[in-house]
Amino acid sequence: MMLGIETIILTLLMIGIGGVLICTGVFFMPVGGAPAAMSTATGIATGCEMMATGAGITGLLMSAALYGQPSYIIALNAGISSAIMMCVTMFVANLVVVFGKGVPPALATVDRDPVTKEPVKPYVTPGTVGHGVPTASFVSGFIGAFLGGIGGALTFIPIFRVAFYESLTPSASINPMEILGPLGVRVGVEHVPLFVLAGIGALAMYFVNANIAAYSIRGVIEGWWDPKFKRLPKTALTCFVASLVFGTLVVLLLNSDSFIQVLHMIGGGS
Amino acid sequence: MSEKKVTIDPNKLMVVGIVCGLVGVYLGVIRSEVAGLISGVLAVPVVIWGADAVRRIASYGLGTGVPSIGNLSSGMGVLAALVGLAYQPILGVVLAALAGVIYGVFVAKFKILEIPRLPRYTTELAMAACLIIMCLTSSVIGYYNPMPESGFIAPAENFENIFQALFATGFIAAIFWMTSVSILHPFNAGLGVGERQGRTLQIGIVTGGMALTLAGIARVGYLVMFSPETSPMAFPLGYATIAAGAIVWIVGIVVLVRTASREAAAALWTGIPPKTKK
Repeated sequence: MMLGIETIILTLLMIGIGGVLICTGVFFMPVGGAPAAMSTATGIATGCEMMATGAGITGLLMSAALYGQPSYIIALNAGISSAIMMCVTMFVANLVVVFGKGVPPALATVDRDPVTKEPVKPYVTPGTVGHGVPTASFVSGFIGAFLGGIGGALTFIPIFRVAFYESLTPSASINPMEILGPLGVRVGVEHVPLFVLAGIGALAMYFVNANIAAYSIRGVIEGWWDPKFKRLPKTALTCFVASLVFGTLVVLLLNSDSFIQVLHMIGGGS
Repeated sequence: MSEKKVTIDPNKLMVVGIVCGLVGVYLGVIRSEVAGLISGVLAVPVVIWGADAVRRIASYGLGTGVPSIGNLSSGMGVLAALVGLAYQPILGVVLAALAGVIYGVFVAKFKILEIPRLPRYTTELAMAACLIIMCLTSSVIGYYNPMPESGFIAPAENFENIFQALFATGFIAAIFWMTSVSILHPFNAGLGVGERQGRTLQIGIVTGGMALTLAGIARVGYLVMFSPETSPMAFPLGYATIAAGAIVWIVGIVVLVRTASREAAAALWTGIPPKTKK
């Protein structure tokens, strides 16, 4: 009882690309960390990893809700839902900064806002590195959350689909197109554990990748114009390798006899 | 930056952690639910080892906070632990170590995180998290029977129980986060100028007790929700797990508060609640 080599390659490839997208997404997000909470740095006032996890979990929830759709629809919707979540967060953070603290959103690394071309440097308080979430950071955060959500969905889909089809077919021969295409089979209550499994697997992959990106940007980044953004290619490559390593663990789990036996017990009931 | 002087040698902690973890998982060969209670208790030394590993890696300053390390280790650990529980626990530990080494080597090679001996730290973290999750899991499902019927792979009934106890109920999320918090919290709470290994590891005892309590609650919850065929001792042992966890937790807190008030510059009464006269 073995998964086909095409299925294994497709699963690993999707997880690897998902890892790269998660990493790229983290690089785009305006991460402020603790300094942003005191309005002494640009960005959202939390760590890289928590922000990426928030975007990722939103994407995972959307993927779980749309499990039956074709993969591209799941991935796009996961991205959009993450982006909406991040936009609401940034908007409310800006409301608090502007109307609560009375600080204008400003960037410190560039003279003019890369999107609106407005001068932003003069508004930076001396001794700080910016405040709030200016327009360019907002756009950057939107792109980042979108990519992160797609990455989360790309990790979720193969784990769930492979486990699901394993529970249906005794031969465990899965056509790779079934992983990408729409789900033509009814999913019952007995399949809920598979969602949990795919969710935990995707969450673990999310942590592994988001952490590499977080260490690479060392806490604070403004957006795609930040000098730290140049570290992206190396970091993305590391994320790809790490995703493949942990993707192999996922494939080993999906391929194990005891796991498949348990899945048949679930699928046999219906 | 040279290593600070420590009271307990990290290598000793590592050996104790690995031995306790493996004994905890493999204790299921006695096929009694007492094994579940003991493997839960044996997760506490592993938590202390994990906390020490976090302490060593996070004292270099990561720029992203200590919690990221805890989440990273439980992320690495949960995948390896599931593979280990599906095949054979020792394989899971080996795979966790291997994945940790590869992760550490690549992150160090591309100069993403420049701290000395990074591969060793990531290996220790992945192994510790993997062992904690496996011990807590065997505590939740009663006991894990690693004896293969034929060949190398552990019998499939184990995974059936795991699937029902952790995935159908969703307790895996609680175990995942508790593992993360139990190894990240000690250094996260203890860090600072006057940080000392002994005191940080005492917080490890507290969080280990919390993890054990949670495993006991998950055990009782699983028994109530699914009422699987178990011996009549299942419920009392589930409550005993909660009690053991609470004892470890309370003892840890008492020891910690004593140490903290002895080592603090001064411990003063805040006035709330007011002391009543006579």
